[in-house]
Amino acid sequence: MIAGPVKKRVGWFIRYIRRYTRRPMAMIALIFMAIVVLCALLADVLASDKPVLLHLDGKLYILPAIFDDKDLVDHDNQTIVAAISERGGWAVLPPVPYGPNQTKVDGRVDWLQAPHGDHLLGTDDSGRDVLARIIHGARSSQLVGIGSIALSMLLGVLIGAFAAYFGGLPDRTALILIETLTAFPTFFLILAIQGLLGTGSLLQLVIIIGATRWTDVARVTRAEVLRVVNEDYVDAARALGLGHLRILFLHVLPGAIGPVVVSATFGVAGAILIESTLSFLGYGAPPPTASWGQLLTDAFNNEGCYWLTIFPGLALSLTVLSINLVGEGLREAVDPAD
Amino acid sequence: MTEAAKSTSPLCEAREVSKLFSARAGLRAGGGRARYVRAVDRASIVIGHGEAVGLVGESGCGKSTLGRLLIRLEAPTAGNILFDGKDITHLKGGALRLKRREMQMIFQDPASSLNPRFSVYSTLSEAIRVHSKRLSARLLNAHIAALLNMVGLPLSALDRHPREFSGGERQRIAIARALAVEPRFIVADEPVTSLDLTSQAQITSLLTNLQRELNVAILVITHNMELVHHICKRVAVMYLGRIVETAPTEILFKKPAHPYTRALLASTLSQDPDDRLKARVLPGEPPSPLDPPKGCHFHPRCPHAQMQCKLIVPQARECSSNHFTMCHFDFDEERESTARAAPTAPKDGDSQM
Repeated sequence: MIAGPVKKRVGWFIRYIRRYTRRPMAMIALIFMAIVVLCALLADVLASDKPVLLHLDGKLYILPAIFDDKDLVDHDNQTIVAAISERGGWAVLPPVPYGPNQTKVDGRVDWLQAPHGDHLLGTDDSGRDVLARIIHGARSSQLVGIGSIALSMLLGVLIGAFAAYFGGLPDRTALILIETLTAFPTFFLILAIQGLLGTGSLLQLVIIIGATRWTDVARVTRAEVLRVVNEDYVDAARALGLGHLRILFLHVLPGAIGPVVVSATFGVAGAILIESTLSFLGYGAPPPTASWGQLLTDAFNNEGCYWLTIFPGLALSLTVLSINLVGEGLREAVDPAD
Repeated sequence: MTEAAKSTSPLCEAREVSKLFSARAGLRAGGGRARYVRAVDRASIVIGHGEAVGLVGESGCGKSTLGRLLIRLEAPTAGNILFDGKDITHLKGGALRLKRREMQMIFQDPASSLNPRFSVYSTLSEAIRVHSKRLSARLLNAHIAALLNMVGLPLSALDRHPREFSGGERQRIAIARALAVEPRFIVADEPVTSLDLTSQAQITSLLTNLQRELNVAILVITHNMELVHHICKRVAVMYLGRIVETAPTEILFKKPAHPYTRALLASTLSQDPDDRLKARVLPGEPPSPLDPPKGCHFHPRCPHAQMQCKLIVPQARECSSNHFTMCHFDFDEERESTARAAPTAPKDGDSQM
């Protein structure tokens, strides 16, 4: 670098972060979201029917729930604890010592138990621990929410940006496509596709939601790119003889992406709601996968068991609320008028 | 950009170019009546190698559009653009990008012509790398240092972003960027208009010196006569899309031939209290380019308009050496000024015509 001593100045990114952290509600929401995402990522460690670490008969098992040790297939935390007391050894149990699909504890099915010491949030009608299922349900929600919006961002940003930048025929084609897709009520479109394809995996849900929800992203991107393209610095880049792709990705999109990210954040909340609704209706991911929507279906089938309604419902609504608060905070942080 | 590059053909030339913009709003291709704004109307202009030419006129007369047409930021609706004797009217894609490196633009507002996310270093290195892709880091830095020196900015500017500079400094960065590709032709669109008075003077003298040192041709688009006087050897006057007069700067200022030029000069030259043209204010607004007047575009506001002005578009003709006007009439300066002074006796009393 040939520059002399230069005082370090604050970049735009740091300024956005500072503006965001000034809002307490947005910060609380962000922390809550971080916890939910951590739950989703670490679900197998936080709530599992296998211990985190186990030393038994001179063998050390590390995270058997993830690495699928064949020796322990027929065991759960409770049988292992019993074995330890007989044969010596030690184990580190997960904070919630039940798997999401574990029905028997010590050979017993404790179904529809209200919250108490062993099952902090109670059990459902198959004897499964509600807390364990909520933690694993976060995984489905986050996977579908973030995954499908990542896909729709990819599609929407590319289509919207190319349409606005090149104009003419590409723009008209994209607009027709966007308007055609928007004309369908998205939820019923997704429901119909799920019905036709059958309830496959979570990945199928990610692809279907992503492929139908990109229109919002494309709309915002298109509008933002149209605004930025009129800036003189884009003309200056053209006058320099830079290529279209370089201009679009280096000069236009960085100035246009802020509002797109904000709207995508709200999109995550929408996708999570769609996933839960589909699961509630029985068109989500098939049963062994834990999902908040399915937990609510269980509540629907078991009247009077308040813990089946309140806890998954709280998890779902607090998550959606938090995402919306995070989105709102981001929107205000990147708002140039502020 | 050197003497050796000179050839018989002018560097940049517009031949009868027109630019129409569709004024119809909305998305539906078929709906509504097509209405066009004729921003540039069969305008011709020639810029020689290393020549500084001014392009003046009211706002909205199409001078910026003509400048953008010359460096092919826009494609003309009709007519031809020639660069170095080659027709570049229909150049596209990579060939056009290559040509563009020989012509650059300096914009009115450096606050928006510099990418706010790019540091000065990124801005300049990007521009240099367009020109010579495989430049070693050492040579690149040397080149950047030379550019900064040329426009009078310290090396400490490199790590900073546009918003950390004043308007004048930003315009220096924009000028450095334009010079980075070593262009042979620069279009400067109102290069000092957005600046404060001190910066205006500084940027004017910077542009004047650079133009002479580097012998780069420049088209200065402005309504600032001071700037034109400083830099330009020749001036073209534009009114409602047409070039109504071109002349060497001195002649244009002394003996303007077109009534519009006279009005334009009168509205700006007011330092000499004895100036006869002082305080002549042009009546009325320029007509809408959506619906321009027939015949001579200037006739509704022209104090000398006759019947033929309303019907026949005047042809550009050479009224003296290198002095072209697009008016049907010759005006004898002496007789004309006495005739004008007659109705209102006191010299400085004819403020409203």
